[in-house]
Amino acid sequence: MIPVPLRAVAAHLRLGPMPWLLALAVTALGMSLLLPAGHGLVELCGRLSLALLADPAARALLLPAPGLLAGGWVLMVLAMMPPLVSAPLAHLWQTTAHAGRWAAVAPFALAYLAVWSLAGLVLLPLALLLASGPAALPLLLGAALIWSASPTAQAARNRCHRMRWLPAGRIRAARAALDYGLAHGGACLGACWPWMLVPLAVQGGHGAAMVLVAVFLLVERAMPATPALWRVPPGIVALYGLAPSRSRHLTGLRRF
Amino acid sequence: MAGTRKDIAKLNGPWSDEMLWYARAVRALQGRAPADRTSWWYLAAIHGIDIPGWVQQGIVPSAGSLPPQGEQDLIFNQCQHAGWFFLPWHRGYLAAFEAILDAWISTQPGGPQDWALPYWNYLSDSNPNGRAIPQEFLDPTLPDGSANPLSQVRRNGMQVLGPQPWFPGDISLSAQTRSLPFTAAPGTEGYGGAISGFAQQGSLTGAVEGDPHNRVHVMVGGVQPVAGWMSDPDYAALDPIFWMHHCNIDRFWAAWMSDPANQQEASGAWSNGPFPRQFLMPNPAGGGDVFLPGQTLPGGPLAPVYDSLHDGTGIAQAVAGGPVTEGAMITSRQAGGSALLGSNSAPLTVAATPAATEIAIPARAATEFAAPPGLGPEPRLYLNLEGVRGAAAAGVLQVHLRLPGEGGGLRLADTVALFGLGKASSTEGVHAGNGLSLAIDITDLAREIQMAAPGALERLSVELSQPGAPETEITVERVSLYRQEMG
Repeated sequence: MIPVPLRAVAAHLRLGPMPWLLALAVTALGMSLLLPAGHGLVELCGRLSLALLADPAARALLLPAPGLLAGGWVLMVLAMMPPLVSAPLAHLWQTTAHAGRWAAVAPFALAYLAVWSLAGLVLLPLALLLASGPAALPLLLGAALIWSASPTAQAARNRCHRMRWLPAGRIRAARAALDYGLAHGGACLGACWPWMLVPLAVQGGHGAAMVLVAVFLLVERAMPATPALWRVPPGIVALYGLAPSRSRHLTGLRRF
Repeated sequence: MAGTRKDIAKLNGPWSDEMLWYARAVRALQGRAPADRTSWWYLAAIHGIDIPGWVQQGIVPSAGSLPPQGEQDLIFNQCQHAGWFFLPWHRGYLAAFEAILDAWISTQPGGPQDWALPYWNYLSDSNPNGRAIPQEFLDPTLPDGSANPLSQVRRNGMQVLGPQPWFPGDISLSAQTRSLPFTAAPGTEGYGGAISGFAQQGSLTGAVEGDPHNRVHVMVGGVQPVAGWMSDPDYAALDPIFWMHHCNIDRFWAAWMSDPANQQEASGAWSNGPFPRQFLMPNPAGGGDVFLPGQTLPGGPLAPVYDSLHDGTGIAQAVAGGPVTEGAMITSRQAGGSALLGSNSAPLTVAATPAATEIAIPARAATEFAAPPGLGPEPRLYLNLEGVRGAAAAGVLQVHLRLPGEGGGLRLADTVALFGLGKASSTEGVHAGNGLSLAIDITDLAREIQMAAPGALERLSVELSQPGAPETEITVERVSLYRQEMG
């Protein structure tokens, strides 16, 4: 007998564009794992320092082509983020006329991807510098959990639930979809950015770490909006609901 | 175990035994601490709570008197509106409330062992005074002279349901008597609402939720000078009449499901409920139980028993007899799809003066709607108000369509009660500020317009106004037109 929460999860994963987005994520994950050995983001993380980056010779020796680096980052985003935009994509699809659906979805998706891609300009160097040594993973994981618990992250998650309805007119609608994608991407970035550093600190099992973080972010995204206060990270509360009921008292989260 | 739920008007009232025990139990629950899971305050906060407002009004002594934040996150602010969990969530909520009251009543000296929530049958066929708020909710005292906890509420003096200067509309059984799927396709009407996750304000209001549910809430609470408790989801369950109102709404659903012509949703996504946040209710022992929508269906542990599913429900009686339980359960069926035909091009602001807009739709869509091909069911047309926002706790909007021609007048499409407007518009709380969205069936009116002037539907003129003397603005992000594809 499948536990009820898992049945509920399975049923909701079949709704709307989620199956397609999961397929996209799995494809991107597979491609990111196929990147040339020694040139992946993970191999680089922690091997750099500000001093090395300042030295052109060392930089040329260590850094792969910028295109490869950027490609690795975009693949990582595509492997982790698509399921998070299932709700706004479904909303856009359902509230746009048949003839204009792709013209609405495409600008939204491109704008969303652009936000995350540009974020790589900051997050990638940060990861290359920080994700090193045995302490990197617990430190980055702890920082991400603290971020998730913060009012700032909750406010960003709340903005992820904001919906927009596109106006009439192809150009007006496309511009509004672009704005929507930028705003949604900004909110998503605000909620999730420290989590993107975590898989980069995992040298063995980087792909598995990406999947685990993506699942965590998806359940945080699925939690309803709530006042922006310090609180137990919603992803922890949500995953806790999947635990067998007899073990729930162990964490002390559920007081019932 | 609770007994059979009965019509307040058919008890030996006013102040029948059932209502006297209700009042005593409410008083007992009001005497419990706000953090007590069986207290009146705790139970009301499960529906919705505005903590600063509750403290300011003296409803609770302080924010610190409430349970810890972690517990609040799990159980407060759960009410489901504008989505397909509206009916099952409120059924589970009523069951938990009834069980807690019953646990207290049945242990009192002389207390009945089969007490059940009465319902307010405001559209009763047999009671011409059904629309009047039952006397027990108006009397300042109980028969023994003590203060009446059922009337110590904020209601703006409302006593009878029906048209008011600020609400020139009425309640009806329209949701009961039309042929509707349970689940709405986007932009259309369903009996129970559109697909949603855990949503205190989902994407589209269901038919029975719009009328009579929302209308009764706003008519009882009133909107001026300040919205009464029943008009605001964060206060509504503090008014003892809330529970009698929802008991009747729940009976409407039970009656609707007893009609073999209707199709009840039973898909896995509906039956298993939302996730990660689930529906959680306290029990009389002070613990908590998660419940699933599937458990509220006929034959399930949360299915109630009513004395009548026919008086005032719009559902004809198939078989004469005594107490009736819910009848035929139909397997789930997905309704046909829908398509957006067109929308206006800019948001509207409705203040003291009306606001007008136009929706352009392709000529072919207008022609196809006016003369649908084929022999199947005719498609229906829905006017949508999407992203309706305002600062007031509740509001009222009148929606008119302009008839074609130079002297074309206005025809009323609907008067809508915006229950929970302020809460749905806030970006600070649990709604993300998406506002309210609703669909109005304008099929007949649209055909009339198209027949009066072929081509008139291609540029449909819509006018929105706030009746009465509104002091606050209401904005509408988009006005649009959807066609329902009959499945």
